[in-house]
Amino acid sequence: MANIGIDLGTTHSLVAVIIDGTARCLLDDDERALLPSAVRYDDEGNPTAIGYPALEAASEPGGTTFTSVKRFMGRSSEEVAEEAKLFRYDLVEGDTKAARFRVGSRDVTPVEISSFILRLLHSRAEECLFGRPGGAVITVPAYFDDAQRQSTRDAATVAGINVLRLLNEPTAAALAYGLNAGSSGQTVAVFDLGGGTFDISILRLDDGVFQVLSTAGDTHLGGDDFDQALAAVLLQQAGIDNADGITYRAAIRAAEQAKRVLTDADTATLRADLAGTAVEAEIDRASFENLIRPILQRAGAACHQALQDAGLATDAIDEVVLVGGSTRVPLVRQYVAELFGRAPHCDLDADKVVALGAAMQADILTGDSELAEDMLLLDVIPLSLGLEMMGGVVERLIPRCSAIPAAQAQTFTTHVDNQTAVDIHILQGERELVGDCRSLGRFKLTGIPPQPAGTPRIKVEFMVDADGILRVSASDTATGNSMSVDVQPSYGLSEDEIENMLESAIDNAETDVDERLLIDARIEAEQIANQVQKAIAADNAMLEDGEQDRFEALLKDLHEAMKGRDRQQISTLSHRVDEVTAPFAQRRIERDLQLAIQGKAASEVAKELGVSK
Amino acid sequence: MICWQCHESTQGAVCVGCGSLQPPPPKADPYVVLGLKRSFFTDVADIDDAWRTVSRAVHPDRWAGKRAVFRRMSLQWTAALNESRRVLSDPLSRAWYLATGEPQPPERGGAQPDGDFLETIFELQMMNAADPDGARETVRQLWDTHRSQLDVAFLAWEADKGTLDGVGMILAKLQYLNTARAQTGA
Repeated sequence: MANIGIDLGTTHSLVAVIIDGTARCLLDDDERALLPSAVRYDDEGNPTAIGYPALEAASEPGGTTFTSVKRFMGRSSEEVAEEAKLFRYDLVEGDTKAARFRVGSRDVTPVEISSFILRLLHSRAEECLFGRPGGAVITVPAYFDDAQRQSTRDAATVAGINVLRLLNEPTAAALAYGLNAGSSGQTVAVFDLGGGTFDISILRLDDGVFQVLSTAGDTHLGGDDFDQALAAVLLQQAGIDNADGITYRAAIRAAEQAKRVLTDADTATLRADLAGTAVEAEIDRASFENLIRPILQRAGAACHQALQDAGLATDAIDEVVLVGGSTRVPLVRQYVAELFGRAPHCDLDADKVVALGAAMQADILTGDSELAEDMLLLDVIPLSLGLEMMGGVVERLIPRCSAIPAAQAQTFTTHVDNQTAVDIHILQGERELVGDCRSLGRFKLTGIPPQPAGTPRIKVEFMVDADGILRVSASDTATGNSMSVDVQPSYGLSEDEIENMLESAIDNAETDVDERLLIDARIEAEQIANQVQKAIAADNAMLEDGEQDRFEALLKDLHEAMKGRDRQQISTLSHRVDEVTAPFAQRRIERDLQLAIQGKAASEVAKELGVSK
Repeated sequence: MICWQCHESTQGAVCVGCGSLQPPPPKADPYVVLGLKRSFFTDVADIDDAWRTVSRAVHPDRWAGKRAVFRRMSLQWTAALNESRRVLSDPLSRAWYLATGEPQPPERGGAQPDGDFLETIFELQMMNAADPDGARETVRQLWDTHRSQLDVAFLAWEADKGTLDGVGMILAKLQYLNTARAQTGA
């Protein structure tokens, strides 16, 4: 069963897969690879169109077309208030701080909107591959923080997609160009200029290992700025000072067409019907380049920042990769070549590069890939993770640019006699004070046995997994018992919300709930349950007080869940059983090793003495 | 080493016989995790090489789709591996680890340099405002002096001709100088 790669972009999204050893983007019925990241809702808040039809209906009354929702993923209403004004979205407050929009009588979240785009791409893959894909690798910007990554994951969950890995976009681009082939190690700059965002990433590639050294960029810089600059010229020629929405959009459309023409031709005609008059203006490439040069200089400044953060000079860059449709503009290529002193790679379609790389990583994760032999992606965490300490100071736990997975343990205690719960506040960012960092969430440790203040020793392990997402587990060091941790994400959606969206997604889905994934989840649950049951029976004496009861209660829950059809619940419980019984499993492994060593020693002694059995 | 799955003798993170991932070394000794010889004079390039080699064997991408117990071990392994590399890559934390067995010095309560040294540091800060070039040069010299004291201590220790008793103090001073290096750009 093939795994797929998805580039969930701000303006466009794509899906790609490995066919006969080569990564290819999958096309829609009109043979287009790009799917505009746009979803239209009617005034009742029902989704009515996705992709091109949603874009085409954008200026029509009777609904809202959402574009660029990636800008809102995993962010609070407060943080994106300005952004929402730009897009004229109606921001509302919800249960959590996560941004959400009002459409008619309903609130929709960026996660929900993204899930429609993901689902459409997934079903495109399903049609092209004549079967449901096994799982998907989804790309995210390298600078995405925990909440933004978690939201991307949530969107995939709601779309019924089995996420194998979140992959950094620049890493995917480097992978697509096969830049890991040279074994001596090289430094790569990935210059990603899309419609509305600019990202520059500096990667280190060593013998198949990819590391993000630094990232910088501008969230409002891209091809749209080129269009706006051209449109301004056209409006000026037409003598229009205050264009209304319709006039402005017409000017933008004319500008975009002229921009495309100027990629190959030396002159183009800006042609539009503005406020009832046909307006025409000639523009040559040199004037266009003068218009966009100041915009490119902003990208240049970000490149210097990224180099500085990586502690590198421009001549340390061995390769430059271009990503994003706007890098087709000849001046952009020339500018990049001058900036880094070398010609950039542009053999692959700049729109598709990221999706192709994602498909390659997806193939690696099938476990029987030929690509996998000597390739391994090692990423770093983009922002430091820390804990709130007394006085509102942040103590850094996992510093930025640490290789992931990364884990740090911290011991907590109580401040009051008989305190049974402890609150832990997790933050992400580089600043010293809580108020200056981004709150990721609060974790509540519960079930601490009542004891005098300062007596309990609770070891909390913070683990950033290979997707850059934080997992927290806790155990009482005195008993070794694992403790429950309640997570309250600051920006994400609550479990209930995701649950609700899942249910409605299942109601609306064209295909049935995925049987195969459900069966897989049941098989895995069965395996885990069997192992634990066997272990309990075999080594009952090694169980500590209360462990058997807790294990059996969990197993009962798991068996109950396995009778149902909720695949998510089954896997969650399977993993919970695995986690909770881990210390017991660890003790058994250690005991087995002891026995094996003793046994081995005896047989080796026998061998030396020339005694055979 | 004996494989926990097939009970045959093996080496490294993955059993040479049955291909099972082995449990991560308990009490993660960074030298053991990376498979490096225990020495202060370990090259950063060697650390990175070892890190890549072990990563290839234990990284979660290698164990995706395998049994849950392997996936969990793979996560623990890789986390221990990355932490080991962090501890050994910086000579100061490497020295601290060898001297104490702890990954990093405590926030407070460590060795406290004498008054003369602290006065020098204070003067450096004053000097940095008036004569940045001079301050930078002085910091460089002080750093080199103390840094070579560290080498001397470890050379003797590794030749069984000395103890690491003085290392805590040298490290405390180097930490002050590290801050001074950042301030002066030395």
